[in-house]
Amino acid sequence: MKGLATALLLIGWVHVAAIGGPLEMSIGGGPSAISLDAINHSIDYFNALIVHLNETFAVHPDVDGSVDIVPPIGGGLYLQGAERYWATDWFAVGAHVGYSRASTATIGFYEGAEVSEIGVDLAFQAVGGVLEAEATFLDVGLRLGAFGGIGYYHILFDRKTVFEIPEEYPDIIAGVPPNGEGRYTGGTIGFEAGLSLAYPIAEWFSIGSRVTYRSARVSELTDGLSNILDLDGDDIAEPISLSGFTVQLTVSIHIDLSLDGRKE
Amino acid sequence: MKRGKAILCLATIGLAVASLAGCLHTSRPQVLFTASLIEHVVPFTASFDATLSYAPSGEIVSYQWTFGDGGAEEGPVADHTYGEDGQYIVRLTVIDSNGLSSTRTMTVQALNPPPVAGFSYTPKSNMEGEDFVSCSETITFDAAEHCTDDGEIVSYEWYFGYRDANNEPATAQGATVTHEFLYAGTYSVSLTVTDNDGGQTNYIEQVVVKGGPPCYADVTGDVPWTCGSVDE
Repeated sequence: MKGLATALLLIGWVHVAAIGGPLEMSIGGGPSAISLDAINHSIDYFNALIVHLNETFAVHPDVDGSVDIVPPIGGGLYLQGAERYWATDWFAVGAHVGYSRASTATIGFYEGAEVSEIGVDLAFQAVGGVLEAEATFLDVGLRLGAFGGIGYYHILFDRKTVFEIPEEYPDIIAGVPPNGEGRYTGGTIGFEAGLSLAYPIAEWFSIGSRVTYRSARVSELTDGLSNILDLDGDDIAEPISLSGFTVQLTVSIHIDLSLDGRKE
Repeated sequence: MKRGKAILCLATIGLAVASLAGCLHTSRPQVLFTASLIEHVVPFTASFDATLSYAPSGEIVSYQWTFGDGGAEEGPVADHTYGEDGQYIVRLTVIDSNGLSSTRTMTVQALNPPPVAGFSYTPKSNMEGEDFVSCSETITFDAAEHCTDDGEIVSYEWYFGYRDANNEPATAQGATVTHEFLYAGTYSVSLTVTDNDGGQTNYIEQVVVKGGPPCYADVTGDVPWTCGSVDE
Protein backbone atom coordinates (compact mmCIF):
# COMPACT_ATOMS: atom_id res chain seq x y z
CA MET A 1 0.00 0.00 0.00
CA LYS A 2 2.80 2.34 0.95
CA GLY A 3 4.62 1.46 -2.28
CA LEU A 4 1.53 2.20 -4.36
CA ALA A 5 1.11 5.58 -2.69
CA THR A 6 4.74 6.40 -3.37
CA ALA A 7 4.40 5.39 -7.01
CA LEU A 8 1.29 7.54 -7.48
CA LEU A 9 3.05 10.45 -5.80
CA LEU A 10 6.02 10.09 -8.13
CA ILE A 11 3.78 9.86 -11.21
CA GLY A 12 1.93 12.98 -10.08
CA TRP A 13 5.15 14.72 -9.31
CA VAL A 14 6.65 13.97 -12.72
CA HIS A 15 3.41 15.01 -14.40
CA VAL A 16 3.23 18.42 -12.77
CA ALA A 17 6.97 18.85 -12.93
CA ALA A 18 7.07 18.13 -16.61
CA ILE A 19 5.18 21.26 -17.40
CA GLY A 20 7.64 23.51 -15.49
CA GLY A 21 6.84 27.03 -14.24
CA PRO A 22 7.22 29.77 -11.66
CA LEU A 23 5.86 27.85 -8.68
CA GLU A 24 8.68 26.04 -6.95
CA MET A 25 8.12 23.31 -4.43
CA SER A 26 11.09 21.91 -2.62
CA ILE A 27 12.08 19.65 0.19
CA GLY A 28 15.39 19.55 1.91
CA GLY A 29 17.25 18.39 4.91
CA GLY A 30 20.59 18.37 6.55
CA PRO A 31 22.60 19.03 9.64
CA SER A 32 21.70 21.92 11.86
CA ALA A 33 23.65 23.66 14.57
CA ILE A 34 21.44 25.38 17.12
CA SER A 35 22.92 27.59 19.78
CA LEU A 36 20.70 26.68 22.76
CA ASP A 37 23.29 28.64 24.69
CA ALA A 38 21.49 28.85 28.03
CA ILE A 39 20.71 25.14 27.88
CA ASN A 40 24.33 24.40 27.17
CA HIS A 41 25.39 26.61 30.05
CA SER A 42 23.15 24.55 32.29
CA ILE A 43 24.74 21.42 30.86
CA ASP A 44 28.14 22.92 31.70
CA TYR A 45 26.81 23.40 35.22
CA PHE A 46 25.71 19.76 35.37
CA ASN A 47 29.13 18.74 34.16
CA ALA A 48 30.93 20.88 36.74
CA LEU A 49 29.00 19.05 39.42
CA ILE A 50 29.53 15.62 37.80
CA VAL A 51 33.29 16.20 37.45
CA HIS A 52 33.45 17.30 41.08
CA LEU A 53 31.55 14.19 42.23
CA ASN A 54 33.73 11.95 40.06
CA GLU A 55 36.87 13.48 41.55
CA THR A 56 35.51 13.22 45.06
CA PHE A 57 34.46 9.59 44.80
CA ALA A 58 37.49 8.48 42.79
CA VAL A 59 39.43 8.63 46.04
CA HIS A 60 36.61 7.67 48.39
CA PRO A 61 37.11 4.21 49.90
CA ASP A 62 33.41 3.43 50.26
CA VAL A 63 31.99 4.64 46.95
CA ASP A 64 32.54 3.25 43.47
CA GLY A 65 31.40 4.59 40.16
CA SER A 66 31.73 7.50 37.86
CA VAL A 67 29.37 9.33 35.56
CA ASP A 68 30.06 10.49 32.02
CA ILE A 69 29.60 14.19 31.44
CA VAL A 70 26.64 15.40 29.43
CA PRO A 71 27.47 16.17 25.78
CA PRO A 72 26.39 19.63 24.64
CA ILE A 73 23.08 19.86 22.84
CA GLY A 74 22.68 21.70 19.57
CA GLY A 75 23.66 19.54 16.64
CA GLY A 76 20.76 17.81 15.01
CA LEU A 77 18.77 17.15 11.89
CA TYR A 78 16.76 19.79 10.08
CA LEU A 79 13.99 19.06 7.59
CA GLN A 80 12.19 21.61 5.47
CA GLY A 81 9.38 21.83 2.98
CA ALA A 82 9.06 25.07 0.96
CA GLU A 83 7.01 26.72 -1.69
CA ARG A 84 8.15 29.78 -3.63
CA TYR A 85 6.59 31.86 -6.34
CA TRP A 86 9.11 33.34 -8.76
CA ALA A 87 7.55 36.67 -9.65
CA THR A 88 10.45 37.39 -12.01
CA ASP A 89 13.43 35.40 -13.16
CA TRP A 90 15.41 36.65 -10.19
CA PHE A 91 12.93 37.33 -7.38
CA ALA A 92 10.63 35.02 -5.46
CA VAL A 93 8.44 35.12 -2.42
CA GLY A 94 7.37 32.07 -0.53
CA ALA A 95 7.08 30.20 2.68
CA HIS A 96 8.56 27.16 4.29
CA VAL A 97 7.98 24.91 7.25
CA GLY A 98 11.02 23.55 9.02
CA TYR A 99 11.53 21.00 11.72
CA SER A 100 14.63 20.52 13.80
CA ARG A 101 15.50 18.19 16.61
CA ALA A 102 18.43 17.76 18.96
CA SER A 103 19.02 15.79 22.11
CA THR A 104 21.60 14.80 24.68
CA ALA A 105 21.75 12.41 27.59
CA THR A 106 23.91 10.72 30.18
CA ILE A 107 23.30 8.28 32.99
CA GLY A 108 25.54 6.81 35.66
CA PHE A 109 25.61 5.57 39.21
CA TYR A 110 27.63 5.87 42.36
CA GLU A 111 27.55 2.79 44.53
CA GLY A 112 28.08 3.40 48.21
CA ALA A 113 25.83 2.50 51.12
CA GLU A 114 23.10 3.04 48.56
CA VAL A 115 23.08 3.40 44.80
CA SER A 116 22.81 7.02 43.69
CA GLU A 117 21.80 7.92 40.16
CA ILE A 118 22.90 10.82 38.04
CA GLY A 119 20.78 11.03 34.92
CA VAL A 120 20.16 13.75 32.35
CA ASP A 121 17.97 13.35 29.29
CA LEU A 122 17.16 16.46 27.28
CA ALA A 123 15.42 16.65 23.91
CA PHE A 124 14.61 19.72 21.89
CA GLN A 125 12.25 20.05 18.93
CA ALA A 126 11.26 23.15 17.00
CA VAL A 127 8.79 23.72 14.22
CA GLY A 128 8.94 26.97 12.33
CA GLY A 129 6.79 28.58 9.68
CA VAL A 130 8.68 31.25 7.74
CA LEU A 131 7.64 33.79 5.11
CA GLU A 132 10.61 34.52 2.91
CA ALA A 133 11.87 36.39 -0.10
CA GLU A 134 14.67 35.22 -2.34
CA ALA A 135 16.73 36.95 -4.96
CA THR A 136 19.03 35.37 -7.51
CA PHE A 137 22.13 37.45 -8.11
CA LEU A 138 24.15 35.07 -10.23
CA ASP A 139 22.84 32.74 -12.91
CA VAL A 140 25.51 30.94 -14.87
CA GLY A 141 23.95 27.55 -15.08
CA LEU A 142 24.28 27.42 -11.32
CA ARG A 143 21.93 29.87 -9.68
CA LEU A 144 23.29 31.64 -6.65
CA GLY A 145 20.85 33.56 -4.52
CA ALA A 146 20.26 35.14 -1.16
CA PHE A 147 17.16 34.92 0.93
CA GLY A 148 15.71 36.23 4.14
CA GLY A 149 12.51 35.84 6.04
CA ILE A 150 10.54 36.19 9.19
CA GLY A 151 8.81 33.35 10.96
CA TYR A 152 7.22 31.92 14.02
CA TYR A 153 8.87 29.05 15.87
CA HIS A 154 7.17 26.69 18.29
CA ILE A 155 9.42 24.79 20.66
CA LEU A 156 9.02 21.59 22.64
CA PHE A 157 11.61 20.77 25.26
CA ASP A 158 11.57 17.48 27.15
CA ARG A 159 13.58 17.34 30.32
CA LYS A 160 14.43 14.55 32.73
CA THR A 161 17.06 15.15 35.38
CA VAL A 162 18.07 13.03 38.37
CA PHE A 163 20.84 14.15 40.70
CA GLU A 164 21.15 11.91 43.73
CA ILE A 165 24.14 12.92 45.81
CA PRO A 166 25.57 9.92 47.68
CA GLU A 167 25.26 10.21 51.43
CA GLU A 168 29.01 9.65 51.67
CA TYR A 169 29.59 13.10 50.16
CA PRO A 170 31.21 14.99 53.03
CA ASP A 171 29.45 18.35 52.66
CA ILE A 172 26.13 19.75 51.58
CA ILE A 173 25.94 21.17 48.07
CA ALA A 174 23.99 24.32 47.34
CA GLY A 175 22.63 24.27 43.86
CA VAL A 176 22.10 20.62 43.11
CA PRO A 177 19.96 20.70 39.96
CA PRO A 178 16.34 19.90 40.70
CA ASN A 179 15.13 16.39 39.95
CA GLY A 180 12.12 15.87 37.77
CA GLU A 181 10.81 15.57 34.29
CA GLY A 182 8.43 17.49 32.11
CA ARG A 183 7.61 18.89 28.71
CA TYR A 184 8.03 22.62 28.25
CA THR A 185 6.73 24.68 25.35
CA GLY A 186 7.02 28.19 24.01
CA GLY A 187 7.06 30.21 20.86
CA THR A 188 8.68 33.25 19.33
CA ILE A 189 9.15 35.31 16.20
CA GLY A 190 12.52 35.04 14.51
CA PHE A 191 14.47 35.76 11.37
CA GLU A 192 16.29 33.68 8.81
CA ALA A 193 18.76 34.62 6.16
CA GLY A 194 21.13 32.75 3.97
CA LEU A 195 22.48 31.77 0.61
CA SER A 196 21.05 29.33 -1.88
CA LEU A 197 22.66 27.41 -4.65
CA ALA A 198 20.53 25.69 -7.28
CA TYR A 199 21.52 23.49 -10.18
CA PRO A 200 18.73 23.00 -12.72
CA ILE A 201 18.68 19.42 -13.97
CA ALA A 202 15.73 20.19 -16.21
CA GLU A 203 13.39 23.10 -16.73
CA TRP A 204 11.11 21.67 -14.11
CA PHE A 205 13.59 20.09 -11.70
CA SER A 206 16.61 21.25 -9.81
CA ILE A 207 18.80 20.20 -6.94
CA GLY A 208 20.55 22.59 -4.66
CA SER A 209 21.88 23.56 -1.34
CA ARG A 210 20.93 26.20 1.18
CA VAL A 211 22.94 27.63 4.03
CA THR A 212 20.71 29.38 6.52
CA TYR A 213 21.37 31.40 9.61
CA ARG A 214 18.43 31.66 11.94
CA SER A 215 18.03 34.09 14.82
CA ALA A 216 15.27 33.47 17.32
CA ARG A 217 15.13 33.49 21.08
CA VAL A 218 12.38 32.44 23.48
CA SER A 219 12.73 34.07 26.87
CA GLU A 220 11.15 31.18 28.74
CA LEU A 221 9.41 27.88 28.27
CA THR A 222 6.70 26.64 30.59
CA ASP A 223 5.10 23.31 31.29
CA GLY A 224 1.41 22.58 31.62
CA LEU A 225 1.44 23.97 35.16
CA SER A 226 3.17 27.18 34.10
CA ASN A 227 6.44 26.13 35.73
CA ILE A 228 9.39 27.67 33.97
CA LEU A 229 12.17 25.60 32.48
CA ASP A 230 14.94 25.98 35.05
CA LEU A 231 17.47 23.23 34.59
CA ASP A 232 20.14 24.51 36.95
CA GLY A 233 17.74 25.44 39.74
CA ASP A 234 18.71 29.08 40.07
CA ASP A 235 15.06 30.20 39.82
CA ILE A 236 15.78 31.95 36.54
CA ALA A 237 14.21 30.61 33.36
CA GLU A 238 16.58 29.34 30.74
CA PRO A 239 15.93 31.19 27.47
CA ILE A 240 16.02 29.11 24.33
CA SER A 241 18.17 30.43 21.53
CA LEU A 242 17.43 28.87 18.17
CA SER A 243 20.20 30.83 16.58
CA GLY A 244 22.51 28.85 14.42
CA PHE A 245 23.35 27.59 10.99
CA THR A 246 21.64 24.97 8.91
CA VAL A 247 23.00 23.35 5.80
CA GLN A 248 20.51 21.62 3.53
CA LEU A 249 20.50 19.64 0.38
CA THR A 250 17.29 20.34 -1.53
CA VAL A 251 15.36 19.00 -4.45
CA SER A 252 12.85 21.27 -6.20
CA ILE A 253 10.22 21.04 -8.87
CA HIS A 254 8.84 23.97 -10.84
CA ILE A 255 5.17 24.03 -11.78
CA ASP A 256 3.70 26.05 -14.60
CA LEU A 257 0.68 28.08 -13.52
CA SER A 258 -0.02 29.71 -16.87
CA LEU A 259 -2.97 28.66 -19.02
CA ASP A 260 -0.85 27.86 -22.07
CA GLY A 261 1.38 25.59 -20.10
CA ARG A 262 4.48 27.72 -20.55
CA LYS A 263 6.49 29.58 -18.04
CA GLU A 264 5.83 33.29 -18.18
CA MET B 1 16.50 45.45 -12.15
CA LYS B 2 20.16 45.38 -11.09
CA ARG B 3 19.38 48.04 -8.54
CA GLY B 4 16.56 45.94 -7.13
CA LYS B 5 18.84 42.93 -6.91
CA ALA B 6 21.45 44.94 -5.07
CA ILE B 7 18.92 46.25 -2.57
CA LEU B 8 17.59 42.79 -1.87
CA CYS B 9 21.04 41.34 -1.45
CA LEU B 10 22.05 44.13 0.89
CA ALA B 11 18.87 43.64 2.90
CA THR B 12 19.60 39.96 3.20
CA ILE B 13 23.15 40.54 4.32
CA GLY B 14 21.93 43.15 6.79
CA LEU B 15 19.47 40.69 8.20
CA ALA B 16 22.20 38.10 8.61
CA VAL B 17 24.50 40.57 10.36
CA ALA B 18 21.69 41.63 12.68
CA SER B 19 20.99 38.02 13.44
CA LEU B 20 24.62 37.30 14.23
CA ALA B 21 24.78 40.36 16.47
CA GLY B 22 21.82 39.04 18.39
CA CYS B 23 23.67 35.93 19.41
CA LEU B 24 26.77 37.70 20.59
CA HIS B 25 26.06 37.90 24.26
CA THR B 26 27.82 36.70 27.38
CA SER B 27 26.52 34.35 30.01
CA ARG B 28 26.11 34.85 33.70
CA PRO B 29 28.50 33.13 36.08
CA GLN B 30 27.34 29.88 37.65
CA VAL B 31 27.24 29.58 41.42
CA LEU B 32 28.01 26.24 43.05
CA PHE B 33 29.04 26.04 46.68
CA THR B 34 29.22 23.60 49.54
CA ALA B 35 28.62 23.92 53.27
CA SER B 36 30.10 21.77 56.00
CA LEU B 37 26.94 22.03 58.15
CA ILE B 38 23.43 23.20 57.51
CA GLU B 39 21.73 21.99 60.68
CA HIS B 40 23.27 22.02 64.11
CA VAL B 41 22.71 23.13 67.65
CA VAL B 42 24.07 26.59 68.35
CA PRO B 43 26.71 27.72 68.72
CA PHE B 44 28.41 26.20 65.70
CA THR B 45 30.69 27.23 62.89
CA ALA B 46 29.95 26.29 59.29
CA SER B 47 32.47 26.43 56.48
CA PHE B 48 31.37 27.49 53.02
CA ASP B 49 33.35 26.84 49.85
CA ALA B 50 32.47 28.37 46.47
CA THR B 51 35.55 27.38 44.54
CA LEU B 52 33.38 25.21 42.28
CA SER B 53 31.67 28.34 40.94
CA TYR B 54 32.80 29.50 37.53
CA ALA B 55 32.21 32.11 34.86
CA PRO B 56 31.57 30.80 31.32
CA SER B 57 32.91 34.00 29.86
CA GLY B 58 35.63 35.68 31.88
CA GLU B 59 36.49 34.94 35.47
CA ILE B 60 34.88 35.46 38.83
CA VAL B 61 36.22 38.59 40.46
CA SER B 62 34.01 38.80 43.55
CA TYR B 63 32.39 36.41 46.00
CA GLN B 64 29.96 38.08 48.41
CA TRP B 65 28.45 36.08 51.24
CA THR B 66 25.65 37.04 53.56
CA PHE B 67 24.70 34.60 56.28
CA GLY B 68 21.20 35.71 57.18
CA ASP B 69 22.06 36.89 60.67
CA GLY B 70 23.68 40.15 59.68
CA GLY B 71 27.05 38.59 59.03
CA ALA B 72 28.79 38.99 55.69
CA GLU B 73 32.09 38.02 54.18
CA GLU B 74 33.96 38.08 50.89
CA GLY B 75 36.10 35.49 49.21
CA PRO B 76 35.75 32.04 47.68
CA VAL B 77 35.73 30.35 51.08
CA ALA B 78 34.18 31.60 54.30
CA ASP B 79 33.51 30.44 57.84
CA HIS B 80 30.63 31.69 59.90
CA THR B 81 29.53 31.05 63.46
CA TYR B 82 25.86 31.00 64.35
CA GLY B 83 25.18 31.87 67.98
CA GLU B 84 21.41 32.25 67.98
CA ASP B 85 18.94 29.63 66.98
CA GLY B 86 16.77 30.23 63.93
CA GLN B 87 16.50 29.61 60.22
CA TYR B 88 18.98 31.54 58.14
CA ILE B 89 19.38 32.04 54.40
CA VAL B 90 22.98 31.95 53.26
CA ARG B 91 23.30 33.92 50.06
CA LEU B 92 26.30 33.89 47.76
CA THR B 93 26.56 36.40 44.93
CA VAL B 94 29.41 36.06 42.47
CA ILE B 95 30.38 38.72 39.97
CA ASP B 96 32.46 37.98 36.90
CA SER B 97 34.90 40.12 34.98
CA ASN B 98 32.09 41.21 32.63
CA GLY B 99 30.16 42.63 35.55
CA LEU B 100 27.53 39.91 35.39
CA SER B 101 26.35 38.37 38.62
CA SER B 102 24.52 35.31 39.85
CA THR B 103 23.19 34.37 43.24
CA ARG B 104 22.40 31.11 44.93
CA THR B 105 21.03 30.48 48.39
CA MET B 106 21.06 27.76 51.01
CA THR B 107 19.01 27.43 54.17
CA VAL B 108 20.79 26.85 57.46
CA GLN B 109 18.93 25.63 60.51
CA ALA B 110 20.58 26.79 63.75
CA LEU B 111 18.90 24.74 66.42
CA ASN B 112 18.00 25.80 69.90
CA PRO B 113 20.17 23.95 72.42
CA PRO B 114 17.90 21.78 74.56
CA PRO B 115 17.84 22.36 78.30
CA VAL B 116 19.95 20.19 80.58
CA ALA B 117 17.74 18.10 82.84
CA GLY B 118 18.37 16.22 86.06
CA PHE B 119 17.01 15.86 89.57
CA SER B 120 17.81 14.63 93.04
CA TYR B 121 15.51 13.19 95.65
CA THR B 122 15.49 12.99 99.43
CA PRO B 123 15.34 11.33 101.83
CA LYS B 124 17.06 8.23 100.62
CA SER B 125 19.08 5.50 102.16
CA ASN B 126 22.00 3.55 100.88
CA MET B 127 22.64 -0.12 101.32
CA GLU B 128 25.62 -1.83 99.75
CA GLY B 129 26.10 1.04 97.34
CA GLU B 130 22.46 1.14 96.21
CA ASP B 131 20.24 4.14 96.91
CA PHE B 132 16.65 3.45 97.86
CA VAL B 133 13.64 5.12 99.41
CA SER B 134 10.99 3.68 101.64
CA CYS B 135 7.38 2.87 100.92
CA SER B 136 4.84 5.47 101.94
CA GLU B 137 7.51 7.95 102.70
CA THR B 138 7.16 11.44 101.29
CA ILE B 139 10.02 11.91 98.84
CA THR B 140 11.01 15.36 97.64
CA PHE B 141 12.15 15.50 94.01
CA ASP B 142 14.16 18.59 93.23
CA ALA B 143 15.00 19.59 89.66
CA ALA B 144 15.62 23.28 90.22
CA GLU B 145 19.25 22.80 91.14
CA HIS B 146 19.98 20.41 88.32
CA CYS B 147 18.34 21.91 85.21
CA THR B 148 19.94 24.65 83.15
CA ASP B 149 19.21 26.32 79.82
CA ASP B 150 20.49 29.17 77.67
CA GLY B 151 17.07 30.76 78.14
CA GLU B 152 14.48 29.93 80.71
CA ILE B 153 12.88 26.66 81.67
CA VAL B 154 9.15 27.11 81.54
CA SER B 155 7.87 23.70 82.56
CA TYR B 156 8.84 20.61 84.55
CA GLU B 157 6.76 17.51 83.91
CA TRP B 158 7.21 14.48 86.16
CA TYR B 159 6.11 10.92 85.64
CA PHE B 160 6.79 8.51 88.47
CA GLY B 161 6.77 5.36 86.44
CA TYR B 162 3.42 3.75 87.23
CA ARG B 163 -0.33 4.16 86.97
CA ASP B 164 -2.50 4.53 90.02
CA ALA B 165 -5.59 2.58 91.04
CA ASN B 166 -7.68 4.64 88.58
CA ASN B 167 -5.24 3.77 85.81
CA GLU B 168 -4.10 7.37 85.69
CA PRO B 169 -0.38 8.02 85.26
CA ALA B 170 1.29 9.23 88.42
CA THR B 171 2.47 12.69 87.41
CA ALA B 172 3.32 16.07 88.85
CA GLN B 173 4.39 19.51 87.66
CA GLY B 174 6.93 21.88 89.09
CA ALA B 175 10.60 22.28 89.74
CA THR B 176 10.26 20.70 93.17
CA VAL B 177 7.59 18.11 93.89
CA THR B 178 6.84 15.44 96.46
CA HIS B 179 5.61 11.93 95.95
CA GLU B 180 4.90 8.77 97.94
CA PHE B 181 5.42 5.34 96.44
CA LEU B 182 2.93 2.85 97.86
CA TYR B 183 4.58 -0.31 96.61
CA ALA B 184 8.13 -1.50 96.65
CA GLY B 185 9.83 -1.85 93.32
CA THR B 186 12.04 -0.08 90.86
CA TYR B 187 10.42 2.94 89.22
CA SER B 188 11.64 4.82 86.15
CA VAL B 189 11.06 8.40 87.23
CA SER B 190 10.95 10.67 84.22
CA LEU B 191 11.42 14.43 84.14
CA THR B 192 10.70 16.43 80.99
CA VAL B 193 11.79 20.05 80.99
CA THR B 194 10.81 22.58 78.35
CA ASP B 195 12.54 25.87 77.71
CA ASN B 196 11.15 29.15 76.41
CA ASP B 197 12.20 28.25 72.83
CA GLY B 198 10.29 25.00 72.88
CA GLY B 199 13.38 22.86 73.42
CA GLN B 200 12.75 19.75 75.48
CA THR B 201 14.89 17.28 77.34
CA ASN B 202 13.75 14.11 79.01
CA TYR B 203 15.72 12.71 81.93
CA ILE B 204 14.99 9.31 83.46
CA GLU B 205 16.39 7.86 86.64
CA GLN B 206 15.62 4.56 88.33
CA VAL B 207 14.31 4.96 91.87
CA VAL B 208 14.35 1.86 94.04
CA VAL B 209 11.56 1.67 96.62
CA LYS B 210 11.87 -0.74 99.47
CA GLY B 211 9.46 -1.12 102.21
CA GLY B 212 8.63 -2.85 105.43
CA PRO B 213 5.15 -3.34 106.77
CA PRO B 214 2.81 -1.66 106.60
CA CYS B 215 3.49 -0.15 103.23
CA TYR B 216 -0.09 0.21 102.20
CA ALA B 217 -3.16 0.44 104.44
CA ASP B 218 -6.00 -1.02 102.52
CA VAL B 219 -9.24 -1.45 104.41
CA THR B 220 -10.31 -4.23 102.11
CA GLY B 221 -7.35 -6.31 103.08
CA ASP B 222 -6.75 -7.22 99.45
CA VAL B 223 -3.26 -5.84 99.46
CA PRO B 224 -0.68 -8.10 101.04
CA TRP B 225 0.94 -7.01 104.24
CA THR B 226 4.38 -7.04 102.76
CA CYS B 227 5.07 -4.90 99.72
CA GLY B 228 5.76 -6.64 96.45
CA SER B 229 7.23 -5.47 93.20
CA VAL B 230 5.17 -3.18 91.02
CA ASP B 231 4.48 -4.18 87.48
CA GLU B 232 5.53 -1.12 85.56
